[in-house]
Amino acid sequence: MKDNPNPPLIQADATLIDVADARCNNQLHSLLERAVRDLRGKRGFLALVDQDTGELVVQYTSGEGWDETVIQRRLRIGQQEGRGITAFVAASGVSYRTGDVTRDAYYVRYFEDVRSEVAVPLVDAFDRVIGVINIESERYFAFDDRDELYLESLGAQAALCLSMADRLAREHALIDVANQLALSVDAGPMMQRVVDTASRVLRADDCSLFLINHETRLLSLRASRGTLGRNINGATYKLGEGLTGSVALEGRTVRTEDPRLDTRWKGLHNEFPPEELGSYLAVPIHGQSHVIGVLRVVRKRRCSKFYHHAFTEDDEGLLLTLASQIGVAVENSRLRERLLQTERLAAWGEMSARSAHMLGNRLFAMSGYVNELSHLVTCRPIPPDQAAEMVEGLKRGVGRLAEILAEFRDFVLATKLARTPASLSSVVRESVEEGIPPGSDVRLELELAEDLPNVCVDVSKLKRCFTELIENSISLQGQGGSLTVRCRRATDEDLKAFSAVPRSRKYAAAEFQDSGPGVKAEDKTRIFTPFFTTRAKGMGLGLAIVKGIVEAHGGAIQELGEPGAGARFLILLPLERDDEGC
Amino acid sequence: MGTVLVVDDEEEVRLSIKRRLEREGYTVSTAASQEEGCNALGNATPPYDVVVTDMLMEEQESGQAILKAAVTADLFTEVIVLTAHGNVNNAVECMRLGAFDYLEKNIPGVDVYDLLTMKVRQAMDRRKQSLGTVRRLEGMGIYGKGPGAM
Repeated sequence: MKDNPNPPLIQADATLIDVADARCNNQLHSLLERAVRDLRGKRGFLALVDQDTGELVVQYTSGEGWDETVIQRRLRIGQQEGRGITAFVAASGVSYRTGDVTRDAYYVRYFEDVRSEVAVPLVDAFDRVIGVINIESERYFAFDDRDELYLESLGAQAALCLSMADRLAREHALIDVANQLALSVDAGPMMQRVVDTASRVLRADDCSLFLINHETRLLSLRASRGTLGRNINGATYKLGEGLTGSVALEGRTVRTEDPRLDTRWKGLHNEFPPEELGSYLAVPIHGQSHVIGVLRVVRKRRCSKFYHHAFTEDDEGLLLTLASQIGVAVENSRLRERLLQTERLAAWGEMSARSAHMLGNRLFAMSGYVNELSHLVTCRPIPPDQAAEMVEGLKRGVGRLAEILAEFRDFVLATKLARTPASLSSVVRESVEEGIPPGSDVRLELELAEDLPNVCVDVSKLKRCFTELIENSISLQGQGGSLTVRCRRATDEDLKAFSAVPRSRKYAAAEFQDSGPGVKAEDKTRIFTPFFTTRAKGMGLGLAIVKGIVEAHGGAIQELGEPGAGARFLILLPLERDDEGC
Repeated sequence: MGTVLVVDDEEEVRLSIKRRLEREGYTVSTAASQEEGCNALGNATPPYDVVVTDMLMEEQESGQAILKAAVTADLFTEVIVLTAHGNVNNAVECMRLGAFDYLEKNIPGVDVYDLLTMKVRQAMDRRKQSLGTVRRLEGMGIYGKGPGAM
């Protein structure tokens, strides 16, 4: 034991210690050491109330004689009267001192050599006992009034240290949620996060989040930790119904130690059976102009003396802060959703206008051939060459219509993938074979890394994507020119070009570089938008389809070539997938 | 018979209209863009009798630009504006600015090329009437280069 006088005793569930930072841990250690040394004690320990179980748990020890068996025996300090000095101090909240343990009614013997003992409670800002420091000596009447006072002052320090750690944990939780808020696009995971954080920091047994559904005007469950979590979107309150419904209707907090005594309580949706329900704290979630939901935490009823089950004003403040954060997140995500919806509608509007125009023009051209044909068939004799020319024109028109429709279909279906594991190098090789027309004099170079792990992709869609790039390159270069196609594990250099790609994932890179005219600087981002085209063929959806397919795979694409010195398209595809499939 | 300028950025459309109108005996020239069309109108002597132009080429309002160039070259040149789907508003605006008529490129159950030919004939008639009126006014010294002109 000498080598390691204060081993990390208990990895158990003492939440206070979980949330306290290492500094607090060290301070408590040295505080106890100091108490034993300054009081000339033989040994001592510091026990804390485990908020989950309501039991006193030995967290730190000092001095000789501590071994696993003793620690195990003293691990959980009983709550019955007459079952130990520590338990008495914890229950009464007053210090206790004895000069002769052999004559003491409370004393329970763990060490043969103990004669004197002094114990003081650790009391928090709400006058609740959160722990006990206990010092023992092998001498009779080893401790006097001054020793007891001194130990009490150390106890106050320890309590302060713990409450600081607690505050720090709360602060971290708030910062953590705020960061999540800044990062998350989707309010769903964010809500779960808040529920987890609130439970942890407020030492609640469960936490649930309800939002008001705008259509039904019902408060409906969106996140919860325990069994209620199986009923997400199913558990609902009318506004004003039950305690939770009242919070939503009135916009006021409800904090009670026994919700069942409140006349508004109905017990409609509980985190645990009503008879187990202890403290209840529910706060409104405010949107910009009105209440948009309710965040509530609950504790189980426990018959432990040491268990502080009431929520404090501080708890309420913290929960309100979390609620306002979730309020902002929900409002943001609703705004974003509305914006996306509008953009989507606008895109479809644009899409239909463009396609109507494009199809209209093609049809009109075809009508011209039909008109001429119907005139030609009235001629005697029918001029065969002219008639054949009209038929050719019609065929061309039909072909163009089919092309436009195919492009339209590819655009719409770009994000619907049927993934299989595949070798990127083979997909690239096959695309090159299909994409380069026979007799093309473009110089082709392939640099394909063969040791790449398989990617999980829709092979035909990915080929569609690669052949589009290859065909573009060849048609823009005309005669001559060169095309280099590479694939490899994405390097840091590759990743640098993509600011929005998460660095935590591994990517494969596919690169298409040519010696054609390249892409003008001002066009670099526009080329991927629908209907952008420099060619007469199709609808100008080609690169929009390419981008759609790449992004559906969780990848990204950019054009990085020097304008005028050839195009360079770089595609990143994730090497492994974290969700289902393949 | 009369001269017609066809302005459209689709070659097949230009050629189809040209072919159809030539069958009626008109002398037809073509232009492939707004710019080409405006140049052709500015340089033509004598001015074209009728212009058939697409509404939407490089710009949403290419039809208006051609219309302005046409009436600038000759106040009595008649302009027919073709529209694909979705830009009838612009065509109506052209009518307000003095276009002879506008015509949708695709009308179910209608041979638009025959309809266009009819409209071109009507436009030729109106131009003839307008020019006749001007000539009479000139003769009376009320308009243009006549003896009593201001």
